Amino acid sequence: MSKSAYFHGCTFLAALAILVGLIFARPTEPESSLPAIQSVHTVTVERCAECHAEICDSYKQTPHLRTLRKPTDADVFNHFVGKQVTSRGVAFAFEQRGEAVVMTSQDSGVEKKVDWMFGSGEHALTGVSVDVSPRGETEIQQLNVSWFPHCNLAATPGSNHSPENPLLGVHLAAAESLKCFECHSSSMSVDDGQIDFASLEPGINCIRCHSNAQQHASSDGSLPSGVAWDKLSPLESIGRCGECHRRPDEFTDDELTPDNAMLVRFAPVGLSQSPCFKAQFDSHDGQRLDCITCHDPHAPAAKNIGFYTAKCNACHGSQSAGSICPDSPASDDCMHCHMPIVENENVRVTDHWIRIRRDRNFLEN
Amino acid sequence: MLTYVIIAFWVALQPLASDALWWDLSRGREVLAGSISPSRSLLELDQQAESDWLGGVLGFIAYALLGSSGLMLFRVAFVSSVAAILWLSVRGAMTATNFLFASLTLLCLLPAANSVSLVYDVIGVTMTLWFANRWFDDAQPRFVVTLAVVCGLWANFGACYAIFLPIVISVAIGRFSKSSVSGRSFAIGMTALIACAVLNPRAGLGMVDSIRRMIVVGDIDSAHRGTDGMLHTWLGLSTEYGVVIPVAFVGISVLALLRQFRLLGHSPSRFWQIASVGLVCQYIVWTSQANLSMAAVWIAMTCVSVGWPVNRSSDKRFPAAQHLQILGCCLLLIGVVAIYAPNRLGWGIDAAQDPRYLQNALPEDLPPGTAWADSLRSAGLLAWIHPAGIRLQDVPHRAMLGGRLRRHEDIRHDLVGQRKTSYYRGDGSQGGWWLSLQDRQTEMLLVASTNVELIRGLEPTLWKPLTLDSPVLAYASTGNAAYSKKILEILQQRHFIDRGVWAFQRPQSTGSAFDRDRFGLAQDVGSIEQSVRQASVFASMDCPHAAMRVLQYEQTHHGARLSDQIAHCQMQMLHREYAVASRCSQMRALATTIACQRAGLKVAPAFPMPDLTESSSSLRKTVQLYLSGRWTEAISELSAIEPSEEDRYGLAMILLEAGRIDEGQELLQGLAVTTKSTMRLLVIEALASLEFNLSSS
Repeated sequence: MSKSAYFHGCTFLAALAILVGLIFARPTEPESSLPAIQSVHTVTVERCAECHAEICDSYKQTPHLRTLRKPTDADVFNHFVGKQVTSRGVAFAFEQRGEAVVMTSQDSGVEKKVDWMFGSGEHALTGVSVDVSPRGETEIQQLNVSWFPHCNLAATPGSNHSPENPLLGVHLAAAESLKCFECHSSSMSVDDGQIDFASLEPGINCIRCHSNAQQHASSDGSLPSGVAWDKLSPLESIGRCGECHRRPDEFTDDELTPDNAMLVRFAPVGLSQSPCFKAQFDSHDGQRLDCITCHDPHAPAAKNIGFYTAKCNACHGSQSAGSICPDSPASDDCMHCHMPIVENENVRVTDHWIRIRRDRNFLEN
Repeated sequence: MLTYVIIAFWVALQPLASDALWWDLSRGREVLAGSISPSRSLLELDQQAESDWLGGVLGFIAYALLGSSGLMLFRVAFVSSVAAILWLSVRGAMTATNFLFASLTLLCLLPAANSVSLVYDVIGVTMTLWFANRWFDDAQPRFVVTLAVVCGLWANFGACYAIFLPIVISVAIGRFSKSSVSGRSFAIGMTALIACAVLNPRAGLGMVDSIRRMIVVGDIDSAHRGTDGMLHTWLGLSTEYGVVIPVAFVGISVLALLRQFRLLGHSPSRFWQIASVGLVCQYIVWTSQANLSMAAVWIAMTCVSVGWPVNRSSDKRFPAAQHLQILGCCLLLIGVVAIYAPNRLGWGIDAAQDPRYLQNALPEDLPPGTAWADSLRSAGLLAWIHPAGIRLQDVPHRAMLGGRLRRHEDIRHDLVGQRKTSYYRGDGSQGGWWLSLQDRQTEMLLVASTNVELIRGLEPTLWKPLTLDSPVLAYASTGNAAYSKKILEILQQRHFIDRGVWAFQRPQSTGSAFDRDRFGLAQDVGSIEQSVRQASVFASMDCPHAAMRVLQYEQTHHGARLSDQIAHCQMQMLHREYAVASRCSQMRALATTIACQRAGLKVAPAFPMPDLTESSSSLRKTVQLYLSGRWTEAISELSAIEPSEEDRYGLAMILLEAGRIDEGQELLQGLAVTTKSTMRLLVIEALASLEFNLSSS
């Protein structure tokens, strides 16, 4: 072979190699941005505390950080293990078996391992058992008995057990199961619907709201930590909280009625329907109402009624421009009438639809 | 010659099966109605003009004049004309290699022949090569003028016309320093060609669109399969056309490589002509299978034209060895065609493109709104039906060109993942299909029946199907009063096929445009593939019993071996038992285990299985018979013994699947009274599933 032919041949083979490389380098699946929660970039609260010690110390007290725990967690364990309850005619019990906690139905003898405990305990603690679907996706059974601060063990909202149906829990399909973990943890890796529990970061920590916390930390604070929360409109702001607590724009007009008892469980939805919330769009006095008006996201919710009344008075007090309550202008508890605690399927929550409830069917604050 | 004609017949005489068929015809109809931007007229979100605006006109005229026969005549004319040009190219230098080039290229015409718009790209390549060769051979201006006319027409009919530039340049590379065309003439000629190529409604941007269509910029192709890698292209082609087509293309590529290296020592310019064509063609084919026909023609015609000076001999007589080689090639090709021909030959339009089921499914008065379509097929069918009130949102390839593809893909992804409510992605964008579809005023979703992933994803949502057996399934929201009657009707039908006295039968031929035989002579016109697809749709709609009925029909009537599909159905039913009762019956566990063994699958480690060693030998034998499709024998086997509770439950399940509902129900009612164990939960659930219940649908 001549030198020229050799040169041409080699050049062609090099071009061919580059071409094959180009073809293989192309993605074979459309690149899709993963849900932020499935990002593998994590940063711990401790890392954030290096610069934001005060905020982090305060945040460590919040229920958000405890929304997902193992049943063996000391704060959870005592509420369940060794306890029994008869709910809707079916007797359930929680026992410890070695390292594990199991729930048994005493009538049928069926038992189920409790893998995770959902909830901070502020309103409830609900156990789930993790299963795998035939396609290898993570699925859960939401157990039929939960712990509530006011009544201890009782039926979980949505459970449907009865003596004829003495099941231990309600089976949730893979997509629904995934959503449960997405709202109760900060990051996790998911492969084809299967959660890698080793990568799961339980509870809501800094990165859940500050999605770019890692780049912020690694740039020593020069790069932003994610969404500029202070730049969000009130509606966008409650929509962000609504990712887990439900958004108002995802309900139809038929569902957004005062008679819908379920709405009390979705604070941003109730708040969005409140005259106080709607009024801010018409007024130009600079007053703003959204979730963080009353709830400092870096601290536990205040237990002091006076704190919230003061917030109301910022607009409705005698020195302010807003309308003053005709019934009790000098009241130190606006909440009792306008944001009472109500019970829905054993869950006691504050109704965030600021109004005077027609039914008066609520509990004392 | 005879072999060549047989192949041409095989390629020409197949029903039109392209997913783009109705989309192209709809565009043609819009143009004849006065639109210069047919896609913009058809799509709510499309704001751009398109260069290939005339792509559907001739097809539509053919269909309007002669129906599906008009389309078939269009197809036959296309295949015959390209076959004739290829034959004319090789006739002067008939060698085994050149014969193979022509024959294999003819096979590769199949994807283009299925469509009414891809044909223009193949014709464009053929004509450009033909006249470019003549221009560089004779240097006469009339060839440049002809080439410019071809270019201008191609730029208005075909989507991939930007490739005319590389084609002319590749010919120029081959004639480097030998052509009588001067550098100045070449520059003037090329300028004229480019000027003609921008004479379309999209003007110069049409070239950019054309390149993007060819190399599929934007991570996704128009068939919605993602960017094709080599493996994806191979699988896509072999699934659609059998292994013959990708093998034929690889054959052409290998022959081209051999010819290229034979030229290495003789003519570097010819070597680089073939090399450059080969490299470009390999890239565009392995990144988008839609380019296959065009690339095959380009490679083959280049190789044949380049081969002449080397192979042409003054002695026109064939040596005996050449005769033998050509004879061998003929036998090989005829063998391949004979294997694949019977299942594919036909006249008309493929049943997978039949719009009648979808048309019948749509209520007469549709509320105004838009429809989201998952693919070109589903969009095309609705565009053709053109129901008043509903407008299509987008189609994937137009979304790609308009920069909307990411959004389109996100909605699909959210629907598959059942992500209704809002969530935030890593890039800060907001996900969740509810708000996205609401913003677009979406009243209807259209899903191709092959998209089982999406059908499965929609199952638990408020979107419910308006059809069960259409090639494209329309979904409407349960809250939409205009569709509620139809939705209820379909939900009842679905319950009936899954739990009622229903038995599957293949569709009967009526001699319509969508029946392959065209004259209604065949007893049934379906195929095992069609039935399996239908079973997959049923299984994805959470109707595994209906799916088993379809599979059992194919097992018993056509001897199909469907172990994989049966195993998946069994797993689905086992999973359902576990979900409702936290335990599995012996019959289902045994059936799943054996079915998975037969299919070579691993039983998913999802369920705590019962102890199968406790199962009776009769139950084992029954399950074997059941999985083989011999349901009547299976029932007899278990009826003949004194059954245990597990045996009775198993028998009841087979009775229900076999459509003997009353007997199955009676057995279950008896079990519900006697059993005290957790088996009772399974029995209660099985009995409840026999009643049509809207809340469970």
